[in-house]
Amino acid sequence: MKKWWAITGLLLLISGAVWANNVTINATVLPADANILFDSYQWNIPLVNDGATPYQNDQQGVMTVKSGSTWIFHIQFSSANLGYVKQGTDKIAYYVKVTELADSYGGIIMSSDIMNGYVQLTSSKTIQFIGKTSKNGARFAVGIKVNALAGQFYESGVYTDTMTVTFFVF
Amino acid sequence: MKKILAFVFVGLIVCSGAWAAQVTINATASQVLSVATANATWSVTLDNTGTAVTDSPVDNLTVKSSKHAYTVTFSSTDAGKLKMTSGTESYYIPYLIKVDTTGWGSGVSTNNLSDYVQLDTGKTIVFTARTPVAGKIFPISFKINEYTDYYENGDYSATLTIGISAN
Repeated sequence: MKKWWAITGLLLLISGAVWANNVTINATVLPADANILFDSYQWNIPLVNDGATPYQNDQQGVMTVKSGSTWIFHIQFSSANLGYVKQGTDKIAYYVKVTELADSYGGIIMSSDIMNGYVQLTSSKTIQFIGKTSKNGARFAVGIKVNALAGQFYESGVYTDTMTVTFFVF
Repeated sequence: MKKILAFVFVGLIVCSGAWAAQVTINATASQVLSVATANATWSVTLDNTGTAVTDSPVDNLTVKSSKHAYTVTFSSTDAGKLKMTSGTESYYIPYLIKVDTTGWGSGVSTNNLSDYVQLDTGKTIVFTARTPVAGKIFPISFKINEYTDYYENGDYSATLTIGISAN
């Protein structure tokens, strides 16, 4: 009986392959409670623009990373303008640093450039995690630094970039 | 074996999951636009002999700009003439101004004061580059052309106004 059903099923599959268009179905199962949140999604940086005073805010924003069901994951920081804020053809390099807040993560964080000091996002920077976060997530300060251009003005105006933080499993 | 394959399959599906948060970063560089002279008053003596009076440089102009495109404008009361009022009469002496920007040719596109000119209307210098934070310094020269008739003796004055604006 089982063999008969198997043959019937096979015939149905074959006949379906003959008559039907191909449909690709992609299913993505996301880990439970996985997320990246910021306390603010727009950071405004006032530059003194006196050729001497740098800008540095070690907690420009607070990032919360949640991974409730996945033990091994990483997050990746990237910049639309490769580490520059831009105004037309003018651009200013900025630097980013990530610092864990108050031991909010119980797992292991692998050594990463972006947690060791301020780095420019000329290429994406990664932080590797081993271990789930608590339900409230792990919290990190994200700092921004902009150096002054010694003795020179930056072209005045508003410069913009989009920084993307992406969560990856594994 | 089937279970292992199932786990691998689910693992591969989960592996493809990725999502992101985006932050917009806006940095505002403040604007600096300023002009200044070293002295607020220029005193010139005219000996009334008919010879021209030249004071070069009479002062220095310091320009600071965090914009690459801007214009400095010179204008004067009484259309570029020194004025003295005595009773109901007013007397005038035309004066000329020159600003030497040759030391920064790459930053200046037009200088309408490159040679002595009377400020009968506003005269401009158009710049195309930001200055250093310390500014750029340009010598200002003053001149009264030679004359054939005596000027009424006394104290004449004019107010020279120098402005700067982004283009």
